[in-house]
Amino acid sequence: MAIQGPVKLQVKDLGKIFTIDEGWGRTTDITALEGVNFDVRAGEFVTLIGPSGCGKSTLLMIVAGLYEKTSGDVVLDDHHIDGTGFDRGVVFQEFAVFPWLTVSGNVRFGMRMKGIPKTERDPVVERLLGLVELQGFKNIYPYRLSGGMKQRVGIARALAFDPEVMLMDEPFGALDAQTRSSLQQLLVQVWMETHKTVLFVTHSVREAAYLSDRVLLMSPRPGRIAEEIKIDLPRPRDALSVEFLECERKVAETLARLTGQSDGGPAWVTD
Amino acid sequence: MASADKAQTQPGAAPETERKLGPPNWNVVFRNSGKAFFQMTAPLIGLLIFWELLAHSGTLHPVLFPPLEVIWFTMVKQAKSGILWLDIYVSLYRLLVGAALAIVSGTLVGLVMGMNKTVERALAPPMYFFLAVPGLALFPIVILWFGLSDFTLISVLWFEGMITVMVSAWTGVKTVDASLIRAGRAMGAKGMTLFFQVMVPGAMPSLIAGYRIAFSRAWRIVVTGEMIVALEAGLGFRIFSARDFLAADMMYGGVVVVGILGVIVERVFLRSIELTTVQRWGTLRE
Ligand SMILES: Nc1ncnc2c1ncn2[C@@H]1O[C@H](COP(=O)(O)OP(=O)(O)OP(=O)(O)O)[C@@H](O)[C@H]1O
Ligand SMILES: [Mg+2]
Repeated sequence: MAIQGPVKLQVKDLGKIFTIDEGWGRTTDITALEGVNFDVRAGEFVTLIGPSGCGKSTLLMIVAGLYEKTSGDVVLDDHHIDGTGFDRGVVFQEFAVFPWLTVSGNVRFGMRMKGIPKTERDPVVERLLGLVELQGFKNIYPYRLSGGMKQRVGIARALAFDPEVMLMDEPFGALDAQTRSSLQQLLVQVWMETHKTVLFVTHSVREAAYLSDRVLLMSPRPGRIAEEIKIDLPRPRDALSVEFLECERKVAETLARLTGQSDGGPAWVTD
Repeated sequence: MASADKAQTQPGAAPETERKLGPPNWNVVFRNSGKAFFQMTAPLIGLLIFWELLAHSGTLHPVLFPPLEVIWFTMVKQAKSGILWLDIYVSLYRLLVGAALAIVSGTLVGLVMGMNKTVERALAPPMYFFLAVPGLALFPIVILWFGLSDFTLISVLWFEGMITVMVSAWTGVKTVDASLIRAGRAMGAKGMTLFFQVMVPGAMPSLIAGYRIAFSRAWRIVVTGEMIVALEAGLGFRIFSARDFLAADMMYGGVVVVGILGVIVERVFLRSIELTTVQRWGTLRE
């Protein structure tokens, strides 16, 4: 079951230092990432999990080309990433759906930027809105959508220009538990249909175990990849099966150990 | 806000599930709009009645406080002779030319200020300075330069309006949600494209608020400016010159026309921009 494709994305010895201006000519350096190394294979679903502030978003934004890196290298296929590109689609925690465009306008945006001709755009919009179950909402402005629907627009929009890698920063973090689990199911479906490579960030151990082929656990700041756990379960997964719960426990315990919260006692609620 | 109202103001948008809307419910429409109309006009009508009673009571001087019918006949006479229409035309022409110049230049400069740190640093201090100077204070100087002409009036109008629009365009760009900019960049927008496809629509609510303020300021300047620059026509000129004949009825009539025109410009002109942009996007509700 484990994905054995060629390596798609390589993060090599990546470091990021934020320099904060404290006023009166003084600055403070914050080392957000230090010596981050990992690979993602083509078609693989990899999740980054770690304590708040360990640099998950920063890492994802650097891979997206939205933040500058301080040191190291990010390689996609065989080119070095420096800036944004149509080979990567980004889904944001804040949804970031454009309020001035309709649902279909949002989905079309990336395609317009890429220069895909008008006639080719409409079928793609149609297909993607079907995929995220928003067929009837084409001409609606986003303010009339619920949070879950907005994020489905966010996903469709990031898929529209057919990127090879999807980068998702806690895409379901701002949603209620029910909406979140229905979107997790939807994402698994979308992933199985589109065969995209996914790099996903989450806080939720359960989400990581439910979605990923591989979970990368990050240490507290400065963030590094401290552990790696393979989840070798067939999809769609049964979140109440013994095998699943075992995987979830393993991730949770490793995470607790990394953050120094483990006292050998019973596991607490992890979602 | 009432749902009937919303359905009226957004004919293009489909409802949540794109189900068909039935025919308008006229009963509700009439009841709601009738009630709203009464609530909006009752205080005005009360004020007019009060005025009329006061004017006819004999306690006030009829030349200073003429009754409504006198004001009305004066204005009808003005209208029949064509002077009223000329005044309206001239004042509106000045307003529109001045405001159009102000909006175009103010928007451009303000947006660039929001995008470029160097331009921002260079222009913010003079902007704040002139924001603190009332447009009227500039008239004597500009009259020295250009004389008593339309050009003088429109220059002051343009300048004052431009500063107002600049501030709102600048803050508009500055307050565009950072995640929207990131989303735009992640989808391949950069440079001019990012500017026109993300920054400008993102700044739109603030821009439109600025246009509104600019228009109402410009209208005030037109009317008062016409009193100072003393041109041949215009509503402000007419009100001011009525002073020479002690024609209070003409002054009151002029003030009413000024007010009504100002409201129309605001409600019809600016509201329609708002309806097609920010209100459709749900970024603003009235
Ligand atoms: N723009 C920035 N300027 C300065 N420091 C920053 C900036 N963005 C992030 N940081 C710092 O870098 C560290 C990592 O932040 P980051 O947002 O990547 O964490 P995270 O793992 O995504 O946290 P969370 O799980 O809470 O979202 C934090 O200590 C944060 O204070
Ligand atoms: Mg984060």
